Amino acid sequence: MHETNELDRPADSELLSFWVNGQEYTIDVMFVRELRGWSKSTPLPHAPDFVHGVINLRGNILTVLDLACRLGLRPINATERNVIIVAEIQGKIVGLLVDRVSDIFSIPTNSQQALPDIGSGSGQRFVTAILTIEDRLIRVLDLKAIVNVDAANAA
Amino acid sequence: MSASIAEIRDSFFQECISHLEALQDGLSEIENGTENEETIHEVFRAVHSIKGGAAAFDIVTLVKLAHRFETALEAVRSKQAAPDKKAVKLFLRPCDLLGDLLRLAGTKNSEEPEGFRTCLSELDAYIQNNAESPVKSKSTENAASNAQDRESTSVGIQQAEPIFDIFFEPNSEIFPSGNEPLYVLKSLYELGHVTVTCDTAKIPCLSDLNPENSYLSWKAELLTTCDLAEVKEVFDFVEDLCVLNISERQQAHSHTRNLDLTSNRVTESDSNAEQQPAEPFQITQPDASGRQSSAKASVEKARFESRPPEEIAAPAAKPTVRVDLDRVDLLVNQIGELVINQAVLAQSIATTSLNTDASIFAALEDFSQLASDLQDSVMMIRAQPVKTLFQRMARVVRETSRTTQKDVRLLTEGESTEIDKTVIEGLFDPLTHIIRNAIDHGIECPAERSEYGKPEIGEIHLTARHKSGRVTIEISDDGRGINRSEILRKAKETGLVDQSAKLSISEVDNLLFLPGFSSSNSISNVSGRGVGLDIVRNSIAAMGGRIFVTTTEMKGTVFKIDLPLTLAVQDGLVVEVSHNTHVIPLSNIVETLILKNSDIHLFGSSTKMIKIREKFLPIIDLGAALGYRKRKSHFDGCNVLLIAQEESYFALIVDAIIEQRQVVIKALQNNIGACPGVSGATILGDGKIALILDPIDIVKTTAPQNRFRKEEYSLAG
Repeated sequence: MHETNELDRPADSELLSFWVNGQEYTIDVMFVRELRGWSKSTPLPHAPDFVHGVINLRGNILTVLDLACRLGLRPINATERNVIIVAEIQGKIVGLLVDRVSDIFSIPTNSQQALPDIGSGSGQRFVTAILTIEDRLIRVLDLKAIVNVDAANAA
Repeated sequence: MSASIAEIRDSFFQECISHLEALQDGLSEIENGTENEETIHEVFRAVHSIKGGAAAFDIVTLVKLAHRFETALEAVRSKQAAPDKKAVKLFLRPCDLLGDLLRLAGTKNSEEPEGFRTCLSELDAYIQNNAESPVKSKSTENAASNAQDRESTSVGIQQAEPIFDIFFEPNSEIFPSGNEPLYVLKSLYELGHVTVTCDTAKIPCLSDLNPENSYLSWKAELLTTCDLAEVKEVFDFVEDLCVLNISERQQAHSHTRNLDLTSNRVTESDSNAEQQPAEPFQITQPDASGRQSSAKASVEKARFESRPPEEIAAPAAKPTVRVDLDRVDLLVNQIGELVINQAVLAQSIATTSLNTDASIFAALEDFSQLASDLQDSVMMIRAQPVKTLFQRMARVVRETSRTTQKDVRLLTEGESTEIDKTVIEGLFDPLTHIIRNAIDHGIECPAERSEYGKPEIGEIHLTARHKSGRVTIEISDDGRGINRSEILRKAKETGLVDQSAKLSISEVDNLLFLPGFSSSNSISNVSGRGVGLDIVRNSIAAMGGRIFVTTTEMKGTVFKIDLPLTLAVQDGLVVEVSHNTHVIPLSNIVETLILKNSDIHLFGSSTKMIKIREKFLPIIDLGAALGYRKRKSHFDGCNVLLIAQEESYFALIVDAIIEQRQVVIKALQNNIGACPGVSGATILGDGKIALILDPIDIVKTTAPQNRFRKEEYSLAG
């Protein structure tokens, strides 16, 4: 049992981790198109709270979500030190406003730990698993659920 | 694999559309008596190409009809039947049906459209009638058809089997492109009797030989019943990769039919040229050195560099390139970005201390000019001539006149006027509606017309022209017009207009667009006139256009549609509300004014109304409506935009009006659900985003009860 078959071992996934309101989260780096510093955005009237606004991404209008607010945390008071993660999922491009980006690391896919059942707080439905790396506890985000606003509003 | 078949299928449908266009052009030329020798051949070729493509994709109904149509046309082409009015009328039916079938096939629907059977039997009857016509003697027939085919690639009836001399020399590109001359030559054998000789003279010595190049050339003599087009088809995939020379001679004319192919064969075929008028079809692609010469074959093929005029045998149609719309949109976006970038650059240069240097400003000025020229050119790429739309209208006229038993002719003008593709598509329904109305209710029946001293055939004029950066489309008929006093009476009766109101002539005419007039019980003697005209007006308004109508009793009715050139750019008023910049489309705004306290009246405890020209209108505070701030308590000195809604007006309060400008409309990445009141966004000169607002939607979502009926305002004013 000391030899592992190369083919059986699941591929590593590369993850990008970032901080939101003192908590570390992560998404698959394959979703990430680019990282940008925060710039003043245009607010959208009558939009849900978690919609931070729209910014000009090289001629395209990019909607930026306040990730903290989306996760049920206190809204981010954005400054130039904040980061917008431009992510693409299901053909949609969306910006995620976070406090700061911390790391890119690769881990075997099966080392993610299922989420313990702790009831369903408002932010909990967006977290699919948790990781522990050294002493850090990193939450794996369900990007689809984050972006899929219609379903969330209907629920 | 299936993806590439789908691509080929797509391009087949696109080509069919241009074939149909050529077909309709040809038929209308014949109808107007402006045809020449070539016209009927063009018509025939168009049908033939559609048939060929349809057969390849196994679209049975299409092949069936095209084949029948082709046979009927053959009678005209071979001069057994005259292309008279009756024939053209008959041919227009299958022409329309081909269009229907293509649309059906495009949606993978294989059912037979309405009238398919009758059309087939009509064609059959025509073919039968003309089959017994005397046939000219073989030799003159051939000579005549050869003479006609001088420029064309298709060949008339083949009484004798012609011989094709083919010279085929692949260039160095043929192997890298994955083609194999062997298969090309093999497929020649399928056409008839072939003798092929290979010329190996150009093979270099082994040390100079590049194994990826082709050094061979072939000469073939083909005895076949096929026509030139079919022979040419064999070389379809390699025609750009070789020197190809196909010449045809009739067996009857070739006294010395020489099967012994020698190296001086080329000169021999030259000498044959005197006897046989058919010019050799020649495609040359000398090498890969970059000089591109193009085949004269198909007009819709992309040509990047055309030959000098003297080399072009016939005046070819303007060369065009088919491009994916997404790519054009990408270009539009990028150029928009360039324009913005230029503005940012200009702004930052202006704020630096460099500004004593004049040359940089001159350069900057040039840059800005170039950028805006570039933007205009790109917008023009999206533009298309209205011709296709007009052709579809010709069909609407034909069909409606058939069902109403009225003789109506459509005269078009300005077919080459170009409008944005989306606008053209959006115009189809409104125009159809107006034309149907005009024929059904406007134009009188022939007996009535001659009684009034009008020509029996009614006329509908359809014109398009550019006018100060917009497009005007005019639809006029010479029918009975609309009785104005009747309209007014009706409007007063239904309460759309105040009993005492005095309306100008144009105001009366435009009452037709009010929704109240769309009920079926409108004006009795022109029953149904105006049905759905409010829908027409709405769809035109949705494209940022306007529609007007003028009617003269007994003389006819004129509809005028005024449209923007493109939907990608909009005229808007840039306003500021609570430090946010917004754009309000100019088409919504009737006028702007500054409020005075004396205009404002209080209704109830807090509802405020504004009194403009003796009418009270609701006040909407834009800042409050968008949720930026609390409702203002006093409006003295505020800027107000008077917004027209379909049937009401309201006053929209903004903090400041900045400028009027054209804005490039960008869609919001629509992943945050609906955004009420916001129709899009644009990027301003400083790179910031301004939302484009839909004021009507804002009112609907904020204060639906505050709507006033428009005519109460407009008709009293």
